[in-house]
Amino acid sequence: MMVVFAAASIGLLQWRLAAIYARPTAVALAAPASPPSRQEDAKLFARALAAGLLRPETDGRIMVAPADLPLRQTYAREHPELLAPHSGAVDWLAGAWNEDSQRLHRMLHFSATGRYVRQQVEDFNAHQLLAAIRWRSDSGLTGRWRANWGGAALALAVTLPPSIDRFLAETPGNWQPWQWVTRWPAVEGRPPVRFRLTPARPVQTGEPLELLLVGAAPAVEGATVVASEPLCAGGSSCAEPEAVAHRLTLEWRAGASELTVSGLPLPAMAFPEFSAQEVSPIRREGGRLLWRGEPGEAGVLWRPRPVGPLSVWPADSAVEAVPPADRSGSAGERA
Amino acid sequence: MSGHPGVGDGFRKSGLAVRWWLLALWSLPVLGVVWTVSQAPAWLEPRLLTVELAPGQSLVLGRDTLWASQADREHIVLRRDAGTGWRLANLSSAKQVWWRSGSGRYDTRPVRSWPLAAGAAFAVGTETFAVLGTEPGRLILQGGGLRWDYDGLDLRRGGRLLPPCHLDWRTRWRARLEKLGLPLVLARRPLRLGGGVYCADRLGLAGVPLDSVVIEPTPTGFALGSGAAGRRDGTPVTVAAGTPEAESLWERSISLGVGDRLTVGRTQYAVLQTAPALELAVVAGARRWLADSPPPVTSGVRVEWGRLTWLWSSGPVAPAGWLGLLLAALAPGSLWWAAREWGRRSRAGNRRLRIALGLALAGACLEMHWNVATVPLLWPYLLAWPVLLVWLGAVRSPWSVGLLAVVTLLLGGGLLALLQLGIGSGEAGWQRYGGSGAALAGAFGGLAWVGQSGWQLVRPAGWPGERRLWWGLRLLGAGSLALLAAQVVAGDEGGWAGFQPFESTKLVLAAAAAHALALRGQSPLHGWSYDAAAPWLRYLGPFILLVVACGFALLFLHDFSPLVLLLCWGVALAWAYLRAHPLPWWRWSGLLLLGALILLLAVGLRGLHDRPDALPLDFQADRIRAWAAPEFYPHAGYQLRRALEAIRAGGWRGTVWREAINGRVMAVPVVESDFAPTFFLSRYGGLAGLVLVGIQAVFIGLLLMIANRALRRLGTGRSWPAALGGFFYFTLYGGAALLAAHFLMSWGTNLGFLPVMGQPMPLLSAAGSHLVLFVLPIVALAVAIEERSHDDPL
Repeated sequence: MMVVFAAASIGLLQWRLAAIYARPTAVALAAPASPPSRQEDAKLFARALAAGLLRPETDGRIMVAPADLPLRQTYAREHPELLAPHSGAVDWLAGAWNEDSQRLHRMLHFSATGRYVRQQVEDFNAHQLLAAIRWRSDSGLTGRWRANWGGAALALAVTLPPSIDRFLAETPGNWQPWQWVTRWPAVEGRPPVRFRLTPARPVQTGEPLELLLVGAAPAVEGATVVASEPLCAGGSSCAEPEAVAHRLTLEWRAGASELTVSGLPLPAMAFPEFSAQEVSPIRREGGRLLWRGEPGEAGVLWRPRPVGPLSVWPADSAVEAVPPADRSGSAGERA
Repeated sequence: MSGHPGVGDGFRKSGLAVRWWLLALWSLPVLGVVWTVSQAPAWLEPRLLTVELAPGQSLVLGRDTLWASQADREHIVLRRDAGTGWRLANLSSAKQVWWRSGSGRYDTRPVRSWPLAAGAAFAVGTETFAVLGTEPGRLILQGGGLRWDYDGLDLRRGGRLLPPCHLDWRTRWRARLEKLGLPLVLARRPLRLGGGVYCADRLGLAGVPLDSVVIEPTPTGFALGSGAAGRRDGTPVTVAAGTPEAESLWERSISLGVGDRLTVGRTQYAVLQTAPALELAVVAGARRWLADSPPPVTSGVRVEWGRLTWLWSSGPVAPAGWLGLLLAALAPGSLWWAAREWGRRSRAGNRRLRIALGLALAGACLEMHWNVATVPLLWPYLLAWPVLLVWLGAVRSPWSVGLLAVVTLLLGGGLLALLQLGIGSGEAGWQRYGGSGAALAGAFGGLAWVGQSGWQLVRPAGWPGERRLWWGLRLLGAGSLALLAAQVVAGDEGGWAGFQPFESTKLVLAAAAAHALALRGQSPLHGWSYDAAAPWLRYLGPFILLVVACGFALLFLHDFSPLVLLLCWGVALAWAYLRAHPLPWWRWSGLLLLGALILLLAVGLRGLHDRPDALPLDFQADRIRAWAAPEFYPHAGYQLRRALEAIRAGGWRGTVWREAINGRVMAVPVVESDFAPTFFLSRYGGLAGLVLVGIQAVFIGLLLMIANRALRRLGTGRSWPAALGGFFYFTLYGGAALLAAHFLMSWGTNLGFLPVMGQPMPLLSAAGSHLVLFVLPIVALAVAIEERSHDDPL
């Protein structure tokens, strides 16, 4: 009996392994034969949008329902006095809440698919705004830029995406490289982004410097604005409402140890080339948000881009990143 | 000692040949280890990192420069003070850096942690909190115009106790225990800041995501730290707010001192010296580099390299030296003991000496299990293998010998695969799984020795008494329920206090149900009866255990796989009961019904495959859907997809014979436990898999045969110990059924013919609780029954 049992076990495993070795797609999983729109991520994205658990904002970003929404709903019914005051434009308690939305919320926050969808939304949001700054000083002043947004530290990079680089045509003169906000954290609302320049040496009162700021409604602390010129795409002058950038001519104020330049980040929707970057499978078409591969996108399967070498470091860390093995140079010094 | 006719005589007559066969069989996994070690990649491991910086300089380090596994590329920044001091800050957006001060003033805590002190203040987003008072078990905050009190379990807002965040049965339990005044130190939980609700362990904050910041109870009070949703580029958190020392929690740094321990990613370091340069000894879990090319030189960090430490650590932070000395003494001692048992098979040996040696062996093994990350690679194996040899030599019944021989092959093969998993990987951390399994197996062997010798001292002959068994089962049942309750109150789905009590519950349930069925066998009434002679109340114990186990799986673990296990067990037990039923009508009609039920289950499974949405359970439904239509579930079916790719890459012959490095199979999630069969098939090939499943079938078959023998030899009569036969029969049958269900589910999960179920494969997966609380006790029980029958035939 034992021999029969062992032989049957071996036979069944042999049969199953042979099937896997011969035809792996028979048991799973190569290219889907059906339209990709039925894939779980696209389906969940579309259903969560329809149920109001993903909400498009006017600035182009997508808000995700908070993880504790079921608890908020319960407390709204049973202990409304124990709800924390909500901030921001989105009132999550206002939407419909039924069994379907509860199930969708669970999937969105507590499943592998939901985790993937939220990650893609985060990647999408992180590239829906644009702000950058560059400067020059005829006196040879150097310094270090940091940035924050709603109190959150921002990562800055010196390399602009090619689409933006083309958009903001090369400015003649001895300009420092662009400092570009590479990734926008999940901050509610659209507060101004604050760029802070710490000069490497004490500055002299009235010492001039010039800035190029990509953003709206600039405000300056630590220096006097001598001139402000609104710029449109390509670097040409234009009226303020159409401006996407500003050229600022400044003079340092007496006793200033730091320069702060604030400006509203621009919605990336204003830069079609930029927003079309392949950072996420989510895209906008005619005001609608689509997951690549949905109907109308047949054959356009989104694939994540390979992650290249990282050239970004947290700009607010008050230290300078030292490149590891592949770059030359010794330890960085404190700024 | 009188023998039995038949197989036993034959076995004894051919004893010498059998012993040589056993020695050869035991040598197979040993030779496998030797071969695996000889074929191991020539890894270099970092032993010592030296960082030299001028005062005032700083340096960013990470995965490549620290050789830290699962760390960010830029994970920490080291800064040298103007003097000789060093400060360390965590740069990672989401990952922690753990630190334990060498001065012993703190437990291990994250670098981004700020001990709260009375009079201090901190700000989360726009909300500022003042700490009015703090002591162990009591924290008073003032914020948002309100006073907040937290005792480590419940939050009070303006003096009002806030309701539980989730009013479920678990919360009610906790509340009742608290009212009873039971110490809930182990049940303490962090206060989670953020989200939109004020409740027992959450302090809602407008615009701050839940779990951005937590306040953890510590031995000395409370500490503020980043939560699961806390991110460097997320909500700003300022500590020491309103003072000149105010800084962002994300920028917090610690001062390094000699003796400090650090964990970056999964790699542990110890600070050896801070002047003139900072020296970090790599303690465990570092990334490796193949010796066939020189390791890359990293700027700012000098690395000293060493080869794998097979037998003796030459590093500057060698683990406890006494452990090595104990090992050196125990391994030859155990081998001597094995030889002595083998040669003399004496019952007159000094049992107290055995107990002492067994305890020492078990103690050494447990110590290795707890320090497995730092002990040399082969130490646990060097202790586990002699234990197996001793047991092979110590047993007398041919059935025990056969069973232990099969266990030796399965356990040896499993440990061999886990050894390969560890040394074929580019990260040293993987080696802990095999080492831990070997150490636990050795500890169980040693303790089983102690148990056997102790039992012989207390009760040299005869079977356990009925009352003793009955009370023993009651105690075990109560203990199991208490452990499950402890897990519910103070643990999580992963277990409690480092182990998984549910594994022992399965075993106790099998024994309790067996006892009830054995009592049924003792009853004069074998049909359906409400007669007082039918011991209905005695069936209550296993029924309660079963209900608790099912409820635990459904409500706490949120996992359907334990239910599938219990279903298989129930069907097998019903089969075992019916096939031995004394009334033919009951026997045959019952078996027929059972067959129909099995058929229905098969049809139901097929139906579930075709219509996965019909599953009534709301949890893990994505696993069922991914099983039914994997092409539409690239995320839920990710594990299976990677597993099948790895199995296919291995083919029939496997890759281990031509590639020493494990390669892509390491990308399969939980490849060391639930997907260990995938690793085995990928590395050793399908042919080895066929051999493995054949041995597993023999293992189950032997257990069932020993169960049948117990029934035949002892019987099910009303006298004692004859009634024990029924108990042993049902216990072993149930245990074998559970093991078979584990094998089936594990193969099904890995090969895709069943939905993914998170159950380990016995004697192959790295699953310590499963091994020592479930698998090995069943084996020990079968061996004990056979040995006792061999010594004291009826």
